[in-house]
Amino acid sequence: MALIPILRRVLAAGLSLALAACGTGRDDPLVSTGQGLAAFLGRGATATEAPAFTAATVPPELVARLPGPLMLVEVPGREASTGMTRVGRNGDIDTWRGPNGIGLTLDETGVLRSTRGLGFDLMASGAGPTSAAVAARRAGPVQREMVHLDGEARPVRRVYACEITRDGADTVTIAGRATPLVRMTERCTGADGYGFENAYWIDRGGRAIHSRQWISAEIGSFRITILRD
Amino acid sequence: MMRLPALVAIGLMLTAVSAARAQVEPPRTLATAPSLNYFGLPGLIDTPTAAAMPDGVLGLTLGHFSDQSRITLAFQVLPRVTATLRYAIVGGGFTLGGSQPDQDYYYDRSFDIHWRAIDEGGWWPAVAIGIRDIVGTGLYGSEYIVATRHFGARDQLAVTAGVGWGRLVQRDPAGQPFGTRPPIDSGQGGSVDFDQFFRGDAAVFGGLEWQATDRLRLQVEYSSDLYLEEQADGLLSIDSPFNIGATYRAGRNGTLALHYLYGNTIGLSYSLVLDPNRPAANTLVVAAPNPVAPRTARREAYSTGWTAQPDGPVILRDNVARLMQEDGLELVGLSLDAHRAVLRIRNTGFQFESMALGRALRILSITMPHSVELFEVVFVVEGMDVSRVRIARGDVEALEHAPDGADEVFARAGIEDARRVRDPGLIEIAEPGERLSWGLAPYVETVLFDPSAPVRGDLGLRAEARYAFGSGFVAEGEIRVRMLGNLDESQQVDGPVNSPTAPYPVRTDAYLYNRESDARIERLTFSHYGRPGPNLYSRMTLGYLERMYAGLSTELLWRPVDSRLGIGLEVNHVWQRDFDGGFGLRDYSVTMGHLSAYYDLGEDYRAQLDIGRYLAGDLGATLSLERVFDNGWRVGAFATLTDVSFEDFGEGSFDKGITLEIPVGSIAGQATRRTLGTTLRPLLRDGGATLNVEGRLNALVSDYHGTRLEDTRGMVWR
Repeated sequence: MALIPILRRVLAAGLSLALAACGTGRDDPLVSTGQGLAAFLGRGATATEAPAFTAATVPPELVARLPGPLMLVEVPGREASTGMTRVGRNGDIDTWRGPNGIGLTLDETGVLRSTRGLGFDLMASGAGPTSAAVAARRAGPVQREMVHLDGEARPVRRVYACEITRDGADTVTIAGRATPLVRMTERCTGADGYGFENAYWIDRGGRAIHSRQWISAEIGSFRITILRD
Repeated sequence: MMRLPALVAIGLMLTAVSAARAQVEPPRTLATAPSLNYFGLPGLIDTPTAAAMPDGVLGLTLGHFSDQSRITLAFQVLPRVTATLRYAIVGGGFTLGGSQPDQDYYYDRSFDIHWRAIDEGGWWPAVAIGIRDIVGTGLYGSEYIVATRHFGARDQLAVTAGVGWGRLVQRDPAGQPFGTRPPIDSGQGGSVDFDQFFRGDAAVFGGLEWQATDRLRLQVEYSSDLYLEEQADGLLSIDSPFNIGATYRAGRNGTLALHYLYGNTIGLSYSLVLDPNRPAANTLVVAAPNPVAPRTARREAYSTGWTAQPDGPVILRDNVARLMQEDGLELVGLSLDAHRAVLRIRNTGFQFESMALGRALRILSITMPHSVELFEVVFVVEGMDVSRVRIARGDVEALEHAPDGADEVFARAGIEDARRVRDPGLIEIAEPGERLSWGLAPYVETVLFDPSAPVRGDLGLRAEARYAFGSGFVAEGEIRVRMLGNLDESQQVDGPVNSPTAPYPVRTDAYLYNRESDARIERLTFSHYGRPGPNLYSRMTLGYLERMYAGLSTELLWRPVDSRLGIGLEVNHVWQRDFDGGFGLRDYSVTMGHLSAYYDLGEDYRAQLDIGRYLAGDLGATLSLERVFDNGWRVGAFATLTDVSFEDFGEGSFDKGITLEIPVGSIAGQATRRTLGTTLRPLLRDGGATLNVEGRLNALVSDYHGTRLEDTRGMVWR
């Protein structure tokens, strides 16, 4: 399985447009991972003229031109975004990777399970109950577990009590097209009182194709849109 | 290890990096993040409080007022114990005891212990006991018992009152609760003045500190220190016992302080607080690894036909090598049969060893034919097969995304001596062992506390090359060319010892090497590393080992991969090198070496005991204690006692110091195994001096032994 050549092709095919918007410039993004991320999280598109793509503004022609599964990841509040392709599947968990060396894993429902390449990564999560509730569009309480690293790089596992609510129909513009979805919200609180909130927009197949999901206290949340599976 | 003598340079570098990062902060209150005083200890302005820094924290304080500069490194060794090492540079022709100045600056190096005996609780204040300048010549010698109580919902107000002895008693003595204080026997320093402590007159001091805003704090204190010695030499006058000040937290780790002292003087200080528990390590930004490629489940056995495929080995090797390069690992060899694969790797990039393991396992899952059920990763260091980690392929597939995946990998994997089992021989691929690396870079060298200049330095260019070949052979060298600087005017830092029986100047001659060479061979060695038997490692290094010595160094280490104990034997015969840095040797030669025991005390603590013969031919022992954080930060202390008498050793009485090692990865946010290290000694002397030789075995191999791999397990799936 040659993953990198696939990614390279994808990039060459046009995501470099989106990348320029992320601030990585003309560098080979697979080489300049470190700087790429700093630019991605640090300055974002504010350093460049072109605004970053959002789920609404990503051009459908660009999506059509790129092969294979495709995802757009936005950093809310930072005007930065990046495209990602799927590079692996293990069980019901897909691994996606962007050109900055950033990786995400999502389960079949679209619930975020882990991140890589961000520094303060979400190392893993036990989110089976959340995933089942979201897929069934079922409100109610769930428990989820999230694993981060402390300053000594030791895994810290935290259990969160979450309440999932169904907010009703919501139309989201994805790649210029109004898409009718159902919005659900997951509000979680940890034992230390620290909390976060995720939002999922679910399609008819029970899949959250658009979402805003929390990663870590330091990174915050990402907005994730599956453009094509 | 990169040697960086300037502690200050490390500090500055950390500030620069840390300022660039935004992190979520735990609340900082007067109680959890105490201010550091002019002595670099938890305190108000010039007096102590009963506070303590969080466990494991390092505080670097630079302070200056009235011709006195103090640089203090404070380390929270244990939750209640703070230890500090301080350098003071006093100008203005100051000397201790009113004698005539024989140098431009007076240097004082002192060591303190601050123990918070009682924690704050209920209506009780915290109580701390401290001894300043335990083993020095007594300029700052003082002791105190101090109580601090916090008030307010967020501990905004701290009230402190204490009783001091020694120099803290110069104003208004209030009696002698523990008897009279004998006169100071300044002599050689270095010995602990037990009969002095808490004796003599006692006086009270105290003050208030107020957290005005998140970043701003205000202090007022009543100091009982009259600076009698300093006043006598005209450095300052004391018009008032009251000091007032303000501190402002600048950036994540730094604090700037401005004070109005003793009724007439402005003082400035800066402190940098580094928490190894919360370094930027967590921001280690490394590209996402290649994911595990699980096999499709099937009922019948996987085909083993691939073993007969003629071009199979070449294809496998190319796939593995390409992915390893992408993931930042070096391939040493691959050997397999139909069911078992052994991957030999060299980890040159990852400070967290388990990160290299996790990436190697994923590469095996991507590249190995489906019938291979057992994965083994062998870590190779300097040509030595060190440890072997064995895990079932199904576990790798099952644990990649599991919440307990990091812990489970090490619960299910076996770690053993790489030599314990034979490798499968059906397909064997060995990469060529030759590797040439070289570099050309500028260097900065500094010497602190030269008698005529507090800081001397050189800027130059260094060229290095390293060629590894065969099984464990390495030829390497480094040349340094000085471009500019003033090290060639160096003087002997700690002065000669006036005793006919003093040891040969094995280290105090170091300044002559700076004076007499513009370009020099820093190192030029030929080494061999080997595995002479199970649990055994060997090293032989021949050549110009370090700047001052050349010769032969041999070492043997016994250290099982799962053992807390390691035993090493090092024997060297060295000649002193010529001062000009060329190939020449001087008349002095010595056979020296040690029997060493390394012991992992558990938690983060490690101990080392060396017994043997030192560079000056003296016999003795060194005890080192080190705290090794899981993220690779190391802070340690050592002391050496040999048969050189305190008189012959000179000021300081015996060799001791503090070691500090910081992984570059934790401050630069990149994957690298480089570290910044420094050894701080109150005084550099000739008794108890050891040889500096590269590649000592315990440090090389124990990184890949069970404890360290498991300590870094959190990074295995990173």
